[in-house]
Amino acid sequence: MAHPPLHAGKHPVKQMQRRPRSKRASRDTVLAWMILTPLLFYYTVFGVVPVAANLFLSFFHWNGITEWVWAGLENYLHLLTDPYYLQVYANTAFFAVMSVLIQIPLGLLVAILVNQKIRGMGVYRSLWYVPVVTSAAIMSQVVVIFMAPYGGVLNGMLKSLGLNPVIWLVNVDALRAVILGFTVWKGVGAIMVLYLAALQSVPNELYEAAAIDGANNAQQFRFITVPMLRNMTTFVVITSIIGGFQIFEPVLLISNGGPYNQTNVVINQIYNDAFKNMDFGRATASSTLLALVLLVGSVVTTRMSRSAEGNSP
Amino acid sequence: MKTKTLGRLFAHLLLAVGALIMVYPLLYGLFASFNTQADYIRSSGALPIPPRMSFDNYAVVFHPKVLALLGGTLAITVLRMVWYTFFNGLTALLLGYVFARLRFRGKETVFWILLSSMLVPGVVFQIPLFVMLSRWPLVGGNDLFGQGGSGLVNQLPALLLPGMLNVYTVFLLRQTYASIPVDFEEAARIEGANLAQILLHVYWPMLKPVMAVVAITTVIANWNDYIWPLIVVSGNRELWPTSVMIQRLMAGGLPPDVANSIMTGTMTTITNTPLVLTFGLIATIPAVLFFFFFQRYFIEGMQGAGLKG
Repeated sequence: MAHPPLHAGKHPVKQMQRRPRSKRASRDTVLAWMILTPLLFYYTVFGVVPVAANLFLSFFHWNGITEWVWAGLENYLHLLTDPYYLQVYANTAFFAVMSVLIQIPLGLLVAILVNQKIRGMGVYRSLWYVPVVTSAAIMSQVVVIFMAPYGGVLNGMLKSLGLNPVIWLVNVDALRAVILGFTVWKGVGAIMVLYLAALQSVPNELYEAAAIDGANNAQQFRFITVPMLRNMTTFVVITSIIGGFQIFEPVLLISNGGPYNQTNVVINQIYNDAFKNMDFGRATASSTLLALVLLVGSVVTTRMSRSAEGNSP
Repeated sequence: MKTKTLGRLFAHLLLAVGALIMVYPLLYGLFASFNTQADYIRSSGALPIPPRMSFDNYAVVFHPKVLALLGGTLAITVLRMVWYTFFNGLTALLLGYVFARLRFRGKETVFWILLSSMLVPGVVFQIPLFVMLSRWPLVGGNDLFGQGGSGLVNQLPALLLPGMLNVYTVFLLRQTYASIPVDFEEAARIEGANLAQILLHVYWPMLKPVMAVVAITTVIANWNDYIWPLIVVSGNRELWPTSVMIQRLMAGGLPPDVANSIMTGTMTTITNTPLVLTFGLIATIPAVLFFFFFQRYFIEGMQGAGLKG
């Protein structure tokens, strides 16, 4: 994903250039820049400038009103040493890693099951995808209703399991479980659909040939399905981690980071710093750190996936 | 044979239970919406089955004052859907062609710069964009240097200007152009067609399915968009899109001016859970119906993201 097949057309281009500059090449260049110039101008204003400004502001103290004051690395040092922020990062990593660990195997399992040629599978596929098209903000409000201490759905569930009711908003473990459950509920359908596409692109002949050679279902899964799904898995892991670290709406609306910062996450804190504490320097430093972590994470995942490919039988 | 039957049973069980969990909040909302507040409080069990059908909640939702409130948000939401579908489509149509078909120096560099922004989290753009919009010169009481007023914050352009170019869509279109044989274009060119004619008459018919995917995903993304409107127009109720308005109604109740003209006695919306759920339901049902209607395109859109990478 990080390296799209950009090099596919390289050799023909080189051959073209050996000939005297053709009419076609100059026409292409003029046309390309006629289209690119206005669009790149727009992209610069609304894409490049904000990213540059984010980096720039992260080296200053700024409350949005008075003069900027040079801060050097103070914002970054604060973020990396203050226990409050370390707690926020730990919470975010917890939600991201746990949701990836639950969602991906579950999404794969469901994709394999609905990929069977059995009647009714299409209905399951649609229903499992429904949460993906709902609004995270509105469904979070529904979760808030489900958490009502008396007569709420979640306490009703606990009661029918013979467990004691919970005051959800002050119970850290319960609150984390709710937010994590919500994230999985909202995201697993998208992963299912991606794996379904990958499964359907595996040529059936492979399974037929393996069956003739006497491979059982487990062996077919291990030696055909798993290798054929490797690229998709890399893609799903990267996008899920990027998405997982950006968890925000359920935290904002279900717990707002509480109690005592125990469920707070990076993006929620960034918005608090920017729009409530009016500390744009710290907020932008925090965004920059997040972007760096995700960039490094994506590159490492891609590398790991490539070396695993090299070692596989 | 026996293990196969057992396996199927297990598959159906897992899928059915999961499917039930996936739609449970919607089912719950649907049942709750036909309860009065008193009936709802007395209800127990997994679903609040109403002892008698009550349409009180719908009477509030469809009250002219509330409809006016929701109608305004719907207009904003639909405007954004049309706007973003048009501009994301148009820019991707042009840029996809540039990157798939034209040969020029620096192409790969420019394309790489565009693509790299897909890895940058949205928050990195949003805070500086907010500052930029609030300092927009000569609007919202600002002087030439962007000082003195609130700029474009709480104004309509803040909901329309960012994101007119969607890098993911550009990538999708580039891949689609690349999969179309170049012969069609060559033939049209020999007959003297210009770029506009080639895009319109040669490529457009073949790009329609992908453009449908783009339109449909843009519509749903806008219907559910919450954070950016909250950041830039939270101070101006007139500009709230549906997602923001309904979330606010659910969390904070109807605005006092509207509530006072509907409610009698001490009943407030905020504690009226079935009414709150009814609001949630009417904001969710359109998206779900839209999905069931255009399922194929959603799945193709998702798969386009992974398969062609």
